[in-house]
Amino acid sequence: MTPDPNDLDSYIGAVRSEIKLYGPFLSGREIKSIYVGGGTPSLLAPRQLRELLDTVHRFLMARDDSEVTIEVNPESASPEILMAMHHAGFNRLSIGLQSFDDRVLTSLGRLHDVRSSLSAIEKARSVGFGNINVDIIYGIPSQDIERELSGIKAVSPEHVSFYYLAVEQGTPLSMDKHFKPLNDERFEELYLRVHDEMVRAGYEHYEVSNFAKKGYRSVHNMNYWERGDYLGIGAGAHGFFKTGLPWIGMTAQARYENAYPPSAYREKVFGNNGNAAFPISRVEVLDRDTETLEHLFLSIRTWKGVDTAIVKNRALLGHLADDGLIRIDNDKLRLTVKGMCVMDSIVTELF
Amino acid sequence: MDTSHIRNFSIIAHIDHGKSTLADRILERTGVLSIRERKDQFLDQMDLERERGITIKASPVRIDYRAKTGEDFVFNLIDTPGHVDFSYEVSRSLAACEGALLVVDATQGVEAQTLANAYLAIDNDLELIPVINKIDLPGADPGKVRKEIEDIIGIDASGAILASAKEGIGIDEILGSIMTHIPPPGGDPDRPLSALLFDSWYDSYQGVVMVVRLFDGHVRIGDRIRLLSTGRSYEVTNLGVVAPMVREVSGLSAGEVGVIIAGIKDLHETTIGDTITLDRDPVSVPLPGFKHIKPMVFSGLYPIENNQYEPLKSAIEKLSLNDSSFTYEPETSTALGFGFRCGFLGLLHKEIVQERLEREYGLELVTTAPTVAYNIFIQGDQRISVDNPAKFPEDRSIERIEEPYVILTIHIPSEYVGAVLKLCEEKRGFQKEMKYLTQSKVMIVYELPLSEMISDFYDKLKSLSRGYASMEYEFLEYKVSDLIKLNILINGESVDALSIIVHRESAYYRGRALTEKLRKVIPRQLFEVNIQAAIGSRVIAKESVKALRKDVLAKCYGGDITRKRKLLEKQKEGKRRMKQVGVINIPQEAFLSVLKTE
Repeated sequence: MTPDPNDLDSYIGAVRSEIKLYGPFLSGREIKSIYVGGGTPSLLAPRQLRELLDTVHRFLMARDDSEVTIEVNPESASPEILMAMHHAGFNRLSIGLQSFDDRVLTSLGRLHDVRSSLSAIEKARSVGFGNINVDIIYGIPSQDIERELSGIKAVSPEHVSFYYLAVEQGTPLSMDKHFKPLNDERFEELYLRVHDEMVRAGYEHYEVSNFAKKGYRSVHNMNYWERGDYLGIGAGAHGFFKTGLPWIGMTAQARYENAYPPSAYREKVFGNNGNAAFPISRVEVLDRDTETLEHLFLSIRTWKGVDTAIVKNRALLGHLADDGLIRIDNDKLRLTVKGMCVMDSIVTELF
Repeated sequence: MDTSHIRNFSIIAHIDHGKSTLADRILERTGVLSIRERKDQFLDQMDLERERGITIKASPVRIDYRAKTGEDFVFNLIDTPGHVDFSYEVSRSLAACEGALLVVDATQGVEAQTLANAYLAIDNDLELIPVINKIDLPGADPGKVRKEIEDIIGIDASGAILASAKEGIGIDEILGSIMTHIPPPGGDPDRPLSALLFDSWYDSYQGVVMVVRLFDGHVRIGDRIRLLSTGRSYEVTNLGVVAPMVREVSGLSAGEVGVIIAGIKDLHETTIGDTITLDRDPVSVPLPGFKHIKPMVFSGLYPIENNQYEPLKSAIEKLSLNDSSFTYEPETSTALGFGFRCGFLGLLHKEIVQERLEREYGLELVTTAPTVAYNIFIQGDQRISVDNPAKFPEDRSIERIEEPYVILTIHIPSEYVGAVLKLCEEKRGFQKEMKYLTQSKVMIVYELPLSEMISDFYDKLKSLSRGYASMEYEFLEYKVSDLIKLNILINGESVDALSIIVHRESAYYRGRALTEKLRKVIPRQLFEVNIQAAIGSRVIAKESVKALRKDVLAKCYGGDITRKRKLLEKQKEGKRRMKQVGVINIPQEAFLSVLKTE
C-alpha cells in the first residue's frame, strides 16, 4: 500500500520537528552513525531523504565519517532512488535480500526474486555504494545453504546478516502445516557451516548473526550491543540513554519508546496548539541488575565478549569451557561458535 | 435435659450421593439455617471441602425439631468425613450416634463406601434409616436400589424413604423418621462423667475446642476434666452447643452433644476417640474403640525456592494447629534442599494439606512421590521404621523388610472384573474374596501392599472401569516383602529425592520405566543429561537427554533489547523453579514422575 504523499510529507515534517527538539539537549554530543530503517524508507522521495539528513546535520552534531545506513528492498531499488540515497548522504545500504533461491523467497512470501536482488546490488555499486549489507534468512527446510553461501561469495557484500527464521504469526509459513522448524542438530550443523564458509570467504563473525569484511563492522549495531546511547526518532522508535532523559526530566538510566502509530506520534510531536512536545509514550528505568543482565546478554553476542567478573554463576564456567561452549582468555569470556547456538541458555545459566 | 427427646444421628453415604445437600435441606427445613444465609453445603466449612464436595472434618449441629404432636425434640446431626483416609474419624463420629441416615443415590446404587460406612454403623449398633436420594433424576431406579440395599447390606429397606435433597422431596418424612426410628440416647447423668471426644479444632482465641458426646454423667463450667489417654486435666472454661454457631450453655449431661473449651493450647493433646471424665470422680474404663491413628503415607514437601523455607515452616506449624493427624519433621535433600518429611492419613489427606499450604499460605511446593513406612530389621533383630527411601540402609545389613498391607474392597459392574483382577495382580495383591452382589455388581476383596495403592492405583481403577468402580480400603498389617532400593543417578550423582523402594521382581521394569520417563520430562539443556537407575552400584537402566543445540534469538537491535531481556528473564525464572543436581536442571514434575511410571 502506498501512503498518501501528503501524509508522508506531514510525517517527515513530524520527524524533523522531533529532531529539532533534541538539538538543545544534545549540544556537545557527537553522532557517529545514523540508521534509517523499519518500514520502507525507499518510499521516500529524494527531497524527503535530503531533508531528513539535512535536519540531522543542522540541529545535531554528526561526525563527517559517520556511518549513514538506509534499508532498501530489492523490488524498490530503482537506479533513481539509489542515486538519490547516495546523493542525500547515505554511505551504507542494507538490502533485504533474504535468499539466493526464488523458491525460498516464494515460501517466505517475498515480492522480489533473485534477479532483482542481483540487479539491486549491481545498481548500488554503480551509483557509488561501497558498503553494502545483505540480510539472509536460513532455517527453511527445503533451503540449500550452499546456494546461499555461493550467492554471497558471488556478490561479495561488505557485510552479511544471517538470521535464523523466526516464524511470525500471520505469515504464510505460520499457516503452513507442513512447515517444521529445524531440529537442534540440523540447526547447529547449518550454523557451523555458515560460520566456516563465511570465515573462509574473508568475513569476520563479529556477532552472533553478523559477518563483516575487515573494517566493515556495523558501527551502528555495535553501539546497541555495547550499550551506547542512541536516539530513536519517528513513530514507535526506541532510544536509550545511560545519563537519563533530561528533556523529559528523568535522570536515571532509561530506555524509551515513541508513540505509535504515526498518527498518534504526529499528534504528540505537533501538540495541540502547535507546541511541539517529545513524543515519548513509554519509559523504562533500568536498575543495576537489569543493567548487568543487559550488558551480559548484549556483549556476549559480540567478538568482544564479557568480563568473567560480572558472571554470577562462576562455578559453571569450567563446565561450559570443557564442553567447548565458551573460551576464557585473560578473564574475558567469549562464546565459541558452538556456544553461540545456545547463547540464551548460557546467558540464563550465568546471570 | 430429658434424654428421651434427644436424637443423635449422622448421615452416611458414598461420595457424591448427596449427603451434604441433604444435610443442608434438613437445616433449612428446621430453621437452623435460613435460605438466605446459607451457602451451599453449609456443613463443609472449608473452601476446599466445598470445592471437592467432600467433608473433611466432622461437625455437629444441634437442631430444634417440633413434632406434629407439638412435642419438642433436639436432634444432633453429626456430620462425618466422607473419605476413606478418615475412616477412623468416621467410626468415632458414628460412635457418638444412635442412628444414621444411609443415603444411596437412586441412579448409582450401593457403592464401596456405602457398604463400608454401613458396616461401621452396624458395628456401632446404629439404627439405619435407608434414604434413596436423587429420585428426581431420569436414571433413578428406586426399586433396584432398594433391593441392592437389602441384598448387599442386608438390612430391611422396605420402608426406605424416597427423597431428592436437591428438590426438597422427602425431607419431612426423614425428620419424622429420625424421631420415630432412632432410639433416644441411654446413659445416666448421675454416674461419673464419660464423654467421647470425637472431633476438635483449634480456635485462635479460645484454644482447642473439643466436640464431645456425653454417655454418662454431666459437666459444668469450672469442673476439672481429665483426658483418660494422657491423664492430663484441665479446667472447663466454656461449654456450648453448635446451632450452628457455638452457643454457650452452663452444663452438658448424658446423651447430649456439645463442645468443651478447657484452655488447651495444643491440638495434639486431644486425640480423637479419647474419653473425657471428671478429675475428681473419674471413670476407670475408657469408651471402646480408641486408637492412636498414625500417618500411613509420607512425602517430602519442599519450597520451590530455597528462600521460602521459613514461610513453609511457619505455614506447616500453623496448619498442624488445626490438623493433628498430620506429622512433620525437618528433612534435607541434596537435590531439593531444606524441607519437611510429612506424614498423612492417606493420599487425599496429603493433597488437601498440600493444597491448603499452596492456597492459604501462597507457597509453591515441590513434593516427592509418596511412600509408606517400612519396617526394616537389621542385624541383631533391631527394627527401624523408614518412611523415606533416601534413608534406606545399605543392603548388606538388612535381614528382612516389612511393608504395610491394606485390605481393599472394590465394587464394580461385572464386565470389568477381568481388568480389575489383572490390575490387582500386577499390584502384588492376593485375592481374598470375590462375590456377585447382584447379577451385575461384583465385590472383589484383595490384600494389597499400601505402597502399590498410593501410586496410581485409583486412577487406573477408575479409567479401566470407565469411572464405575468404587473402592474402600483399610490398613491390615505389616508383611515381609522382598524389597530393594532403586537409586536414580543424574550424571553420576545419586538423587535422593528420586530414589524409590520397589519389589525386587519389578526392579528392572521400574528402573527402565523411570529412566525413560525422566528422559521425557527433563528438557534438553546445555549439558548432556545421563540418567541411570541402579541397585547398589549395579546400573540396571540408562537413558540420556542430548545437549541442547539451538537456543538463540537471531536479531537483537535497538528496539529488541527490552523484549529480548524479558524473554531471558522468563527463561531464567523457569530455571529457577527447577532443582539443580550438579549442573543439571531438573523440573519439578520429575520428582512426581516416580509415581506415574508404567
